[in-house]
Amino acid sequence: MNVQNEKYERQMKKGVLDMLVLKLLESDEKYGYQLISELNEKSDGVFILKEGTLYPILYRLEDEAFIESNWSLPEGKQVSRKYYSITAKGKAALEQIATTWNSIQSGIDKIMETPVTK
Amino acid sequence: MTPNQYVKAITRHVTCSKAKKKEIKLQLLSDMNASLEGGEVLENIISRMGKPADIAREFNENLSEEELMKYQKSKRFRFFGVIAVILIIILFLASILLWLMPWASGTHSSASQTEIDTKTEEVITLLNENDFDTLSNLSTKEMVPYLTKDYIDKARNGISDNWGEYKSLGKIYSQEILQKGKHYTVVQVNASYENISVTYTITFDQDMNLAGLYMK
Repeated sequence: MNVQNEKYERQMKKGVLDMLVLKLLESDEKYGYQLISELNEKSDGVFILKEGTLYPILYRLEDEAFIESNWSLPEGKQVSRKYYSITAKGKAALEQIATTWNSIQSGIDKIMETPVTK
Repeated sequence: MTPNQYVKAITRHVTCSKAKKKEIKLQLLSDMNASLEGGEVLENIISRMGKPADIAREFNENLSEEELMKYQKSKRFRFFGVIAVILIIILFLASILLWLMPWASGTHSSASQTEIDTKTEEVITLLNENDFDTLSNLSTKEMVPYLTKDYIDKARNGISDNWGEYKSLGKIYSQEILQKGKHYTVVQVNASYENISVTYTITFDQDMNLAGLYMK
């Protein structure tokens, strides 16, 4: 992949990361590395996030009260983990973002699927 | 490299508030420990996560403007804090220096050498003329009981019982001293008499009142 492509890929992915993180948290609370792994697995390797990208997103979503967090109490030799869960405000935001995304996707599809005319 | 050292190397370069830095550190350590618990070896974890500088750069690119402002604010606060501490130390040292140095203190005697010479000559003249009333008026109250003819004659006789006529005064040497927080001018001068040479050590307080007298 050339440098130009990498730039577009990064920009496009960046725009949807908030939505994807909220979506993954919709069903269950998760900790940071768990989110990184799930994003990778569920997207078949399209979204390979580094800690330096994910955590700032989580901090921002938390600042906006879309998610909340709590440190787990370690059991036995298990280390303490910071779990994130979606709030009611976050669920409402996810619904709106998803609607916007569908609208954008539909618009993009219409343009991209239009046959080239000379 | 231990997980702690690795995480420290990352957070050292992250430009955010202290609280956020602590949070990042705890989370990264938690992630690494969780991976270690899962059986992944440390080398793999570090290799997967990447170079500390790259991770820090990624954090810096993605952290909010608000977080960056907090960092800059705390950096400014630290900078001005350090400047303030340095200034306080300088002022403190300067005040000690001023207090120790007689020439620089606001309470020291501001007498010029001419004034010191004149006062010294006046004291010697009054002593030679046995004018103790006038001398008492130019002295501190602690000195007054000793400025009597009997007392001074006893001192004179301790040196010689026949001084002869007063002839002349030598060079006047003076030095300012600090004693118990008070400034004094100590003068030493040789006076020639017909039969003897007497060294007077005269002390003036900061108002140039006679505060001490010694002769030998």
